[in-house]
Amino acid sequence: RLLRQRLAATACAQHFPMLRLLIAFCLIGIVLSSSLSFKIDAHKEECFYDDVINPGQKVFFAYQVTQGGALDIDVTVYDPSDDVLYLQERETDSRVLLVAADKGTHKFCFSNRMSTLTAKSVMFQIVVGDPSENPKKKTAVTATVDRSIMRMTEALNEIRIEQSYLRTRERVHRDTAESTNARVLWGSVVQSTAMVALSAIQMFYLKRCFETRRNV
Amino acid sequence: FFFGLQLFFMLRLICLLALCTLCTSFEFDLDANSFKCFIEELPENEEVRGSFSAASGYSQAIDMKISNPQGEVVVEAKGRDKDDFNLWTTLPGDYNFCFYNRLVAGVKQHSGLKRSLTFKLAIGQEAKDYEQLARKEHLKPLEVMLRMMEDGVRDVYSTYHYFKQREAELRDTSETANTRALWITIINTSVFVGFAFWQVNHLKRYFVTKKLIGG
Repeated sequence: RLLRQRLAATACAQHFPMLRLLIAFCLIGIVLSSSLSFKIDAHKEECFYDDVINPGQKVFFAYQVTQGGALDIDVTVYDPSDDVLYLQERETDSRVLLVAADKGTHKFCFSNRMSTLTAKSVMFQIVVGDPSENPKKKTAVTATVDRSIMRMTEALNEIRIEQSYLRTRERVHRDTAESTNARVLWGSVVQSTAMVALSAIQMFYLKRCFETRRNV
Repeated sequence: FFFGLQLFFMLRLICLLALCTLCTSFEFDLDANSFKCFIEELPENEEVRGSFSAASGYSQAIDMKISNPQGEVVVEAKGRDKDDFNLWTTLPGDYNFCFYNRLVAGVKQHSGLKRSLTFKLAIGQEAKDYEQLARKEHLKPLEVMLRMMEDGVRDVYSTYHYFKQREAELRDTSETANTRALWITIINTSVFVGFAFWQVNHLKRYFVTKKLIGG
């Protein structure tokens, strides 16, 4: 479930093998601490574009529906020639590592077509890997300090990934709880008023029935 | 000299990173006379750096507004085609990054009138300029890495702390809802039962007065 991103500057490794520190530095993976969220209305489609500079580059794409209806959304990713790279229907959340075969502008579309009235809030994250990335090359890092630092950085990245997932889950729970709270209050108020009103109407109607009967 | 060489390559790398590989960056279309808002939940005392740039657009002006959790506008840019901003969060909560596409007066709107905006956002550790820091404090690459990690850990901690507080609030809300549900059920039931008794009593008295039944 954990997806890792490695940012490996092999340019460094190839030309200056003595700069191990730099390599270790380069291997700091990209894990963003931010996921922007936006609102998508019913029957609308929102698209975002991102450029891929090198063919074969890895693109990390994650999204999560935090509010609205059944918390589902259709997602399509198009490559520069408008072919579908990734398609997922009615998912609440997903995390994928796509491989962009062509370079150019890729289109990431969210569609709320299945919703009749409710607008949805979606959190998403698109991270395009480093241009000089080469995931197959693993650099040999010998110094203890370098290895420690690398391990720590990887651990930190994993913490960040999990944290961002938990953040969005917490937000969804919070919205649910607040909605429950409001619903409990208003539902009960409506319920009580309805019951009292109905009983009163019932009674007065009955009284009227007997009165008219008497008149007759 | 060796240190200089190392520094040079490190700076080159950091420059690469500064091309926003370490930040949120995407493009989107904004139709004329419409707006798009992006929401980001931020803890307090967090540095946010970002920029937007708009592709050419015929008679459409782009406004940007960033508002804090209380709804006050903290950063505003009117009619600019591109702008950078720097923001220190004082309050924790939802920050709105809104873009408006204003049609210049006198132009009629027709479909297809839109501008393409590129939005870049770097939060916390992503926003720090390590190149400048390294130059100013003469740091070795290893030290820069350690600094990056230190800032990263601090970010993780402050985010964790903020969400711990939010979770406490969530717990309070849930417990309030629970208590409310209980009390409301009790009150409702007693009201119904009481009202039912009153109803029957009232009708009985009514029938007695109307001499329909003996009383």
